[in-house]
Amino acid sequence: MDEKNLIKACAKGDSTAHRMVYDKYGPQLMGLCMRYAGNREDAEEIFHDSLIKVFNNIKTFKYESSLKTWICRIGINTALDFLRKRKKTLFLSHISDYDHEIVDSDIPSEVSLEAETAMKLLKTMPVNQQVIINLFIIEEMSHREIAAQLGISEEASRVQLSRAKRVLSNIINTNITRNEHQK
Amino acid sequence: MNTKNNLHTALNKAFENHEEPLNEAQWTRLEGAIVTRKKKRWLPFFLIFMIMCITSGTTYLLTLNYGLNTHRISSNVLTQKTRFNKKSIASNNTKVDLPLAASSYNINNLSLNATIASRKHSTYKTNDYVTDIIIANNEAITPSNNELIIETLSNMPVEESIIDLPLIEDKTLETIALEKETKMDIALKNNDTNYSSKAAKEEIEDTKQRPSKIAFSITSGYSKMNVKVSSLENAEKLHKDTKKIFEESNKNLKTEYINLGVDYTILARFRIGINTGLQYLRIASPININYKLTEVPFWDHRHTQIEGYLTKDTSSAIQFNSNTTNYTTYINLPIRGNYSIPLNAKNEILITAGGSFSILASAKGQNININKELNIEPGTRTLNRDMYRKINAGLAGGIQYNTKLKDACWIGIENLWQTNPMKYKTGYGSVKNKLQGYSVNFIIKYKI
Repeated sequence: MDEKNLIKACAKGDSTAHRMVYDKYGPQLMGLCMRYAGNREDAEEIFHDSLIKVFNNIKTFKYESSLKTWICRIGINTALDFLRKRKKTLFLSHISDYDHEIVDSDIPSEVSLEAETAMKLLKTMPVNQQVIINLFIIEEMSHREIAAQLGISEEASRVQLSRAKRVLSNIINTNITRNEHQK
Repeated sequence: MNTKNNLHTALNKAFENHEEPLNEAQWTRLEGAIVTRKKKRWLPFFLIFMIMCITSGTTYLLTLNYGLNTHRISSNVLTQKTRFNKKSIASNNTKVDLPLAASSYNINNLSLNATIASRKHSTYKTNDYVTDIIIANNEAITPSNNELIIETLSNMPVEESIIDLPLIEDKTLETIALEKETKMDIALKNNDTNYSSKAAKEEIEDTKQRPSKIAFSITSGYSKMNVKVSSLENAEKLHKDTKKIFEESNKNLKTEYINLGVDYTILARFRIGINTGLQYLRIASPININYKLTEVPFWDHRHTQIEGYLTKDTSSAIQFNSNTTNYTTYINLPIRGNYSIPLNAKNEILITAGGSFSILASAKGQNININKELNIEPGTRTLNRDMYRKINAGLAGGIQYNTKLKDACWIGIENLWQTNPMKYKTGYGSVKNKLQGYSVNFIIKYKI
């Protein structure tokens, strides 16, 4: 079944089509949920809510993007919603609170990360920074889009990213140093 | 390679096509949730159906009971046999052996015509009850053996007594069929009775004036509706132009509707009944909005509320355009009381007032949304049912003038006013508003 027919079947409430969507896009959506939630339990909650939204709103799908992109977008929105509910102070920041000095720490160019390792690294970061990293680096959203999405200013988005990168660089460098010592 | 590129590359590679395994339990849970949601969609319709059934049943029983009581016959069925004395029939002053209980029964509505002789079993149907007249056999009307057995609906105790049987011609009784079938003449003449004919006539007149038990109607016409914003829910979380945009989106409403109605008479003596049915209401709202977001809100994210606004130049402000027609469709269930005022046998005025439950069936079109939600950014949004409160309860009342067209068929004109509190959800709040207006309707009504 091609994507268009799959969407139509889902819109009609065909449970076989629902299952096909689940099988085809579910694992990737679950990966996305894991990145935002940081643990399996919360990720499953987000995953569940996301797919409910997908199936309930698939009638409104306008074919402006691929189904995968659309599902991921819903997943991101649901994850952010979940995090906001869970952590009321998510992105509570006033512009004046920010350190405007952006520091870039160098990390070796040859560094490569496995998904599992990258996930562990993300978990060590504050939730705000995890979200910024996810949105800016992995989803490749612009600061303007992130600002609109999170209800913060573009400047705040930049500063949060800078902090996140600094934290991440430090963690990576620390790990590399530790590994070198171990060797 | 700089830090940004290194990080980007490393993380992008790490999460490229990143997948997590799924387990069957997740699908089971998801499937259950989807099925439950599907079922819930039928719940309001099922509830409405049940309400209508219960209302109809209750009203029918009440009406039935009242109808029988007016004739002092209880609802349980018992066959009374009334034996006509052959001598009584033969004479002008008809005398009948009639149970005492039946003496109070409005036998004056029964028209015994000379034509009843030829049938073994004939059924008389009056306005309010059924009387079976059984003629024992074909020879029953012969001078030697003319016994009639009248079976009536009653559970009253039967006592033997003799009363005068008033025989008044009533054109409303279905004796026409009998008249066609019989050729025998029996010397029964109308109005030859000791019963007070004046009282009988009054009672017949009263029966004619009494409203019908049930009337089915179909109504449609011109309607002028408008929307007024009554308040904003969580106003501190909504953009200050929300009200303006909403009013702009709902300023030229055009409504189409058709109403299938049922009137039940509950208390015929007081001419009081209830009106219910189903109303299909479709509201079209042409929109032509060109809005510039010059006031950009900044948020206090701790309390999820707008703290203030930053003013932008019109040149740099984000612009939203919407040029479309929005359609919202409602299925309404009115439950109103009505009071009828008969002007004469062919004309009546009906005053109705009560509640109306409206269920949002569909919402189509596009709206400008200037309120941010976590999942939704400001911009044009496709309308859907989730943006509105789906079930609303309002008030409706009006006045009808009905005139009898032919037999049970009536036509009329109605002026109906209705108001329905609605809710439109936007951002973290909602716009509470009232859909209200009047309509002038043409009615076709069939009374039973």
